Amino acid sequence: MPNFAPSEEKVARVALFVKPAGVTCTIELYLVQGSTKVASSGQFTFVSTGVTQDILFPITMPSAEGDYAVWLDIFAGGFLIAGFVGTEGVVISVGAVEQIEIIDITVTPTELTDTQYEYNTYLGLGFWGDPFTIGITYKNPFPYSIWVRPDFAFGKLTGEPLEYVDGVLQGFDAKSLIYVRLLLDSPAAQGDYSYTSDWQKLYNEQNAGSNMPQFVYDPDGIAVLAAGGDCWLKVPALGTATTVKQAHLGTDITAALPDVFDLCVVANKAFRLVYEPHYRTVGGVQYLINWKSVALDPTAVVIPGMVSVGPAPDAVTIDVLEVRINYTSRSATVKVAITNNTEQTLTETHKFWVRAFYGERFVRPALGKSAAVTFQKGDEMVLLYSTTQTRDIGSIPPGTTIKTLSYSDGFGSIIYINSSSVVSAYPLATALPEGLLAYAAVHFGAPDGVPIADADAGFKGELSSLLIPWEAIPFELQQVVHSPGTDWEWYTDFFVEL
Amino acid sequence: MPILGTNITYTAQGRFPVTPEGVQCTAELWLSKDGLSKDATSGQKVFTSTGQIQTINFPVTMPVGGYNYRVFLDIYAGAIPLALFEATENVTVPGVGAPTITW
Repeated sequence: MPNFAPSEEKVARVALFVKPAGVTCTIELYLVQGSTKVASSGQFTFVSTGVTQDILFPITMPSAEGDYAVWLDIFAGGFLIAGFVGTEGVVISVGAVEQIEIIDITVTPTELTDTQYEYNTYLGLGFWGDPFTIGITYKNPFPYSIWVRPDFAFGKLTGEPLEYVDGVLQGFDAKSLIYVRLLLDSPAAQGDYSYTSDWQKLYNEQNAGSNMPQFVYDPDGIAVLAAGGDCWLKVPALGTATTVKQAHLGTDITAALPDVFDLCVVANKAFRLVYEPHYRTVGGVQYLINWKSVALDPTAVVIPGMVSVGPAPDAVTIDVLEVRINYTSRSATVKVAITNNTEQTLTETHKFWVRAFYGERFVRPALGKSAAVTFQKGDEMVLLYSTTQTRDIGSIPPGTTIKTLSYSDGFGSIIYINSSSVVSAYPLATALPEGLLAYAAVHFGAPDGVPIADADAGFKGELSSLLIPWEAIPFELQQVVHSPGTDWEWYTDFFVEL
Repeated sequence: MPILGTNITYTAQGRFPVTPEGVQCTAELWLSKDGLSKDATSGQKVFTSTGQIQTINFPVTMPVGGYNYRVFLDIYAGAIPLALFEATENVTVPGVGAPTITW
C-alpha cells in the first residue's frame, strides 16, 4: 500500500476507458476515512475516447496519519455512471517521503585490485586504479520528468542513518572523493575533483563510457543548463533510466588494501522543471525563460560489501610487444598488451617517446632473425615479439609471471651505436630499481634507404657481450643485422619487474 | 442525446394519437444497437385509443453500457402494425472499464 507523508502533494495516474467515444464526463478521485471524504482532487472534465486513457489527479494527502480508502467517481449526463473503490488505499505516516528511487546497481567486476595504470595527460603521466563498469538505474515516481546527476563512492557504512546535511552525506564514510566535491560544490569551486567517480565532463577521455547528455532542454527547447559542463540523466515521468559508466578505482581506495567496500550511489542534484515564465539576463540582454528548475531531495542507497579490493594478482604476463614504425611520418608507436590472470587486457599506445629521438634519422628494423628484409621508405613495419616462448628470461624460468611492466626513454637506457662501436654503456647496475631481474628490449636499426643486408658477425658479438642479460631473451638480439658505416642504431628498452 | 445509466430503469413517455377512438392497441418501446435485436424493451403496453393525443409510459431498464442505442416505437392493433417509428435521437449508455491507479 502506498505510503505518503502528511500533506504531501501527490499525483495519481488513473488509466480507464469510457465508452462510447465522445461522452463528456466528470471524474473525481478522493480519499475516504470511515465515511468521510478527507481529500479530493476536485472534479475534472474529460471527453471519452472509447479507449483507455490516462487521467492525472493532483491531490494533497491528508494531514492526519492513518489509512485512507481511494474512491473514484465518474459522472456523465449529471449522474454517476460508475463509482470505484481502490483495491488498496494509501497510508499517511510521518517520515514517509517519496523520492527518486535507485532500483538497480551493477558493478563489473566486483573483485578489484590495487593495480595502478599510467595515463598521459598534458601535465605528464598520471595514474589510475583498476577499471570497472558501474550501471545505475533510477526510477522516477513522479508524474513529471526529472533530471539527476548520478554519483557514487566506495567506502564504509558508519551505522548511522544515511542523511544529507548541507550537501554532505552522513552515515557513509566515503573513500572516494565525491563528497569532498559536494563540500566544495560552489560556483567558484565547482569541478571534477575525482575523475574516478562522476559522470561529469564527457569531453574528458577519462570519462569514456559515460552516456549522459550534457544539456537539459525545457519543453520549449531551451537549454536549461547550458553552462558548466555538467551532465544529467533524464528519468521520464513514472519511468526508469539507466546510465552506465566505465570508471577506475582511485588511489585513495587502493591505499587501504585489502578490504571490502560498501558502495554508495546517489541521485545527486535532482530537479524538475515547472512552468514559470521569468527573465534571465545574459550579456546584458534579457531573455524570457518559460521554465524553471526546482530542486528535489537527493537520494542515497548503499549496498554493503559491494566490491572487494586486494593486491594485484602476482600473475601478469607480457603477452605482446608491438612496435609500429611509420617511415613517412618519422614516428613510431608502441603498443604493449598485458594480460593478467584476471583476464583483463590493458592496452596502451604511446607516440612521443620515439619521436623525440627520431630526429632526421632514418631507421630500419632490426628483426629477431637475421633473414634479409627489404624495407622501403614509406613502409610501415610491425615488430611483434612474444615473451611467452619457451626460452628463459635471464634466470627466470619459463612461465614466470610478471608483476608490472614499464618503459622509459629517459632512464639511461638509450644507447647509440655507430658503425661498429657502442658509444654509451648501458647503466644496468645503477639505474635499474631493486627487484628488476630482467628486461626485454626492442631494437631498431637505422637505414640508409637500402635493404637490410645480411647479418654482421662483428656487431653481433659486440652487442652480445655488452648486453649479456639480453642473450636469454627470446628477442634474439644477437642476430640483429645492420649496415656498417652509418650512424643508425637506436634502442629503447622495456623494463620488466618480476 | 440523452445519457442514461446502465441497469437503471427510466420511463419514456410516448405522446401520439391513434384514431378512431376505441381501438384496442399495443405499443412497445425498445432500444437497439444495430436496429435489429432488441437490447432493451418496455414490453408491450396495452391501451385503447381515444382519438386524441394520449401519453403512454414505457419503463425501460438501460442495457449494458458502452454504446449508443437507437430508440424504436412500435404500435400495433392486434397483429396489424399501425405505425413503426425510430426516434430522431439516440440514447447513450456509457460504460466504464475498471480503472488502475498509479501513484
